[in-house]
Amino acid sequence: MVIVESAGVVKRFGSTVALSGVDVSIGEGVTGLLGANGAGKTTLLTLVLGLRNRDEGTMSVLGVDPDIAGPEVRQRLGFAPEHHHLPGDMTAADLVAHIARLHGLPRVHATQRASDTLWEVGLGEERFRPIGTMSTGQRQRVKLAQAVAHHPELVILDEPTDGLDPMQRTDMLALISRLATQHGINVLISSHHLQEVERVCTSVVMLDAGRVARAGQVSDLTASEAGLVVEVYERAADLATALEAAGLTARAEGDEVVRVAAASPDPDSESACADAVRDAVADLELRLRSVLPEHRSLAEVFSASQGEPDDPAADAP
Amino acid sequence: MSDWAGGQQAQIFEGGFRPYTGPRLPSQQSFRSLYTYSLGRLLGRKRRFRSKLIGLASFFVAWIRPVVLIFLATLFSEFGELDFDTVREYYPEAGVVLFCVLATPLLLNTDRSSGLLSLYLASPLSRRRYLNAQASSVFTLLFAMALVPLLALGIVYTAVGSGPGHAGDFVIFCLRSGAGAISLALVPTALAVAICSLVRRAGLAIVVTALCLLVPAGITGLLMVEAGVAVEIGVLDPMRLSQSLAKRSQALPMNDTSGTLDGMATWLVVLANLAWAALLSGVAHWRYGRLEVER
Repeated sequence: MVIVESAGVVKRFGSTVALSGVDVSIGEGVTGLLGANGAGKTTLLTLVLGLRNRDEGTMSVLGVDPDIAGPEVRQRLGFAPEHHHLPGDMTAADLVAHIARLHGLPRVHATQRASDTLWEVGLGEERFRPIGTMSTGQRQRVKLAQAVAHHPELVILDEPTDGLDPMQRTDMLALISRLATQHGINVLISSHHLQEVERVCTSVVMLDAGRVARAGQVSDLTASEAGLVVEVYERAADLATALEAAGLTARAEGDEVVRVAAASPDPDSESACADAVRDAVADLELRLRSVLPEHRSLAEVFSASQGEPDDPAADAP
Repeated sequence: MSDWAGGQQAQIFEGGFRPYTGPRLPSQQSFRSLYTYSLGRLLGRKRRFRSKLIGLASFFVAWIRPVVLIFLATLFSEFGELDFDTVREYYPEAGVVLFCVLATPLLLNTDRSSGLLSLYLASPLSRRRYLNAQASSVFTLLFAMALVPLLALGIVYTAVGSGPGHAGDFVIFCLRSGAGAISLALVPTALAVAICSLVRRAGLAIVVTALCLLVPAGITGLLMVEAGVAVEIGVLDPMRLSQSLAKRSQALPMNDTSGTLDGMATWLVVLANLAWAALLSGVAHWRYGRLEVER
């Protein structure tokens, strides 16, 4: 099911073009929205929330045009902003229940849901404490709780791990994963932390200068275009030599890893590459540990999508 | 050993966070939710003592005089007939000013500084719906502040035999009082909301609101009394205009005292009030339509 879909979306602020023809399709699960400052992430989020009208193009969020039915769309969404400002004299339970009521839950249900949600995010014992006395990590959890208490179909999280220490980040990411996998809430994360996005997201949308630079499943984007990483228990150099003799480009890294490049990115070539590895391993009677597709980090993919070289060293003379 | 009979019907309901399958109200409900929540907030419900104090102080200032009048009426009614006309044009201007100056900025400006506004605008509330809900909550409390003392005085004076003589007269008195309370609450609400929309900090909004309510009254009063300027200069004083219209709603004879707007035609007072309300609410909606919200 497509959650957010846009075609040719353009948004201008005066003479500045914030989005210049965004075509995007965001499906179920956890999706990361990546981009440098000024790439158009916030503008795209405001269009998804129906807080601003686009100048050109079409967009549908949960099957509805947010320009036409903004309040109805927002009732089915949750949003946790980037900033940490929350009303200091309110208790977490009051804030979460209040926002849930605004999203259409009756009073009794909102109060119960606020309590359940705060327990879920790990603030059960703290739910009656004024937010002003809470740490940044606890405030992040309050923001998440108010965004999901009404059980939205899509929750938008803007930098959800900002200001958290490594342990808190791990907890928060686990919590976000659980929302999608256990509770069926689709998540759209706007973040600068590429490693975290790679850990928690199933798909990503990368923006650059108001356009979609790359988009798709994380596994597809991080898979190399053609090649395998072969791990053996010993004699990696012998394996590399055998693969070179079979007409492939192979490079041993240490005594256990061989990187093999396929002749071309088409499936036949990749299959031939895998067959050659199998035959060479059998001929040399090597013990095989693993054969995996060549993998790139999301940071490398992102860097390439922003018009920068994947590996700065590659440009060195 | 327990012989509790209800044991067989007992069930354990699993608690915790799970998909919500309960009723959902339409998105228009968000207006009512915010409106009722803000009413409580303006009165300091679940708030710090300072917030409670502002609401309490305003209502104390507004209602202390009618409370004393009611006390005196019940105590001394046997000594002769009380003059109902002297109390029926009682409107609590001081309480209204105090509430507008102190409570409205703590509602609207705090929403901006505390980040609550960004959460509101990501909910089914639109900017217009948000502003209308907040202005309605301020207006409602000012309306109640002005109306309740008059109704209480009307009931007590009627009970002691000095109020409206017939049921019909009492209904007319109630309607006139309601119209007067609307007149007194409308322009100050619009003024306070407009200023809060223009000024970011609550402290500054308090000062500016106080100046806008009080300074024009001083200047126009001085011009009318000392310089002999025509009474129509009073249209520049929103607070005095709303007071004048509220008092006219009781249809009592004008005193035509210097420094008041008694000499001004009623149609002009009505028109000026409506013009101020339209102008100020237009400013507030324009400003909130363009407000940059922290995200």
